[in-house]
Amino acid sequence: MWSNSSSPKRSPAPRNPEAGFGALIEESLTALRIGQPRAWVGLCAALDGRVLALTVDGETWRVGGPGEAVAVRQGAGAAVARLTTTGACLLDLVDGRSTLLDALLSERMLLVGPVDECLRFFDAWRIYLLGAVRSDACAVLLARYRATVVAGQGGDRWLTEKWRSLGAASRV
Amino acid sequence: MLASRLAALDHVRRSPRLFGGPPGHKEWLHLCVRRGPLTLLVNFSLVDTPQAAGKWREAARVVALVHEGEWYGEVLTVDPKEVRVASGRVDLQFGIQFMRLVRDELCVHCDLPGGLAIDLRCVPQATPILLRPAEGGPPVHWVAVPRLLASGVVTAGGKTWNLNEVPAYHDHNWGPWQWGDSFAWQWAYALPAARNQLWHALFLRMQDGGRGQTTAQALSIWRDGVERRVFRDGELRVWGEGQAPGEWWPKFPSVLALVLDEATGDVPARLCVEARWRDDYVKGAFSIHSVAVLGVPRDTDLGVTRIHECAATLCLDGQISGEPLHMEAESVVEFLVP
Repeated sequence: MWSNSSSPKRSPAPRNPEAGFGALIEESLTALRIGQPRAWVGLCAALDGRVLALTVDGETWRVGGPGEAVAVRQGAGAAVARLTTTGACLLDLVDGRSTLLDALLSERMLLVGPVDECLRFFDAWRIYLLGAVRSDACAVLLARYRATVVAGQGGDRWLTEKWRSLGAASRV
Repeated sequence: MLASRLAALDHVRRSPRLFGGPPGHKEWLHLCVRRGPLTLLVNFSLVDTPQAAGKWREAARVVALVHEGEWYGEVLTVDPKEVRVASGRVDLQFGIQFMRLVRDELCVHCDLPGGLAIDLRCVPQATPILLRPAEGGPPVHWVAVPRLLASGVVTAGGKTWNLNEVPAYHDHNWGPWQWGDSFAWQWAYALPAARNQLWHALFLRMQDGGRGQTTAQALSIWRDGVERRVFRDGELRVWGEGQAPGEWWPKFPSVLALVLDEATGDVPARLCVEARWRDDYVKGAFSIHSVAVLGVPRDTDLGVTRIHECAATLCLDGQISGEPLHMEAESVVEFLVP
């Protein structure tokens, strides 16, 4: 079931009681839509109706949808590009302990898809971050997610196994 | 005497918006310390930040950067409920962080995430000055204390520095502008480490956003806490040489490293100055040793204004009022690119 973050009635209350990645992405998109409309419109334009798949610590979420009805949906399915990583890797990026290039080269982050869609993914991610750094609500959500990851829900071992199963041919 | 003048000039203004006036106010109190390889910057800011539907809110932040070999930094946005600002005084309490003037000392205390802690008492050693905005430039008001002596403890990256009467610089800026407006600035101070070297300096250049036109510039030469000469505008020639060291500069807040392109051409290796007024003249250069980038989200669009904070040294020679000047001083140089 799509949880449409463009619904004006939806509150940013945690969907996931464990405050995992799904809750972070869903509630932060809601925060952008309400509090950072410039970033929200830019993000929707960058996605341009496409759906991206994000797999973090083994759970998959798809982000996308038509126009400004961008929404988050849990579970695998069709997507133009797929990012696979861990919560620990995401926090290393956010905290400056790793660069995006390091994360990709060290295979802590996998990005799979046609090059133009991967570039589109990067554009959307960049706009998302530029909105999130302006948002107090996103700072709170990140702190909550950080606590979840630090508590041991994130790790790189799962990703190593996933990477082995994917094989080198599909890496970007 | 110096502290009472500082108290009269340095009080926090706050946004006129809070009293029914226009929005867009920016304001911060800034402290820099240099001692040998150590560079410390602390900044307490209160900034009107645009929100959805034409609304504004006042964001309170503490920024701290420490450099010795590598840069450590934190940018902490403080919950508005934990912000207390005393009216008409130098007294900011942001959570457990504070900057306040207590009798004749500017006291700074920070205990930031990541183990970055600062506890300093700074005694003014120079006459505070008030500078009004230059015509044609952004409306930046400026109170500066070009020399203080700082004592206390700084901790970052698991290291601790004990400071005892180390030269420091303090200023306070405020005014209504938007980040992303078309202006750039270059600012620097320089203080000798040796107590018996009495000359010190302050530099400012305001430019348009493309950095092709200078709207105002000044090099202020001080001796033992008293301003002895200001070279302004046409009396001063400024130019950059080379490119500052480093193929990659650390960025704060660190998440901005994911969205900011490297722009290492924005900071020269040497910022050269040459000035003359009648028989007074100086010539020298700020040499940039290390750069960190502080990112400030623009108000005007989704971009980021870059403030390059540089650990530097100044070598300056010349003559002021018939007295020879030779300065080898530790310096902090700042390059703001819109």
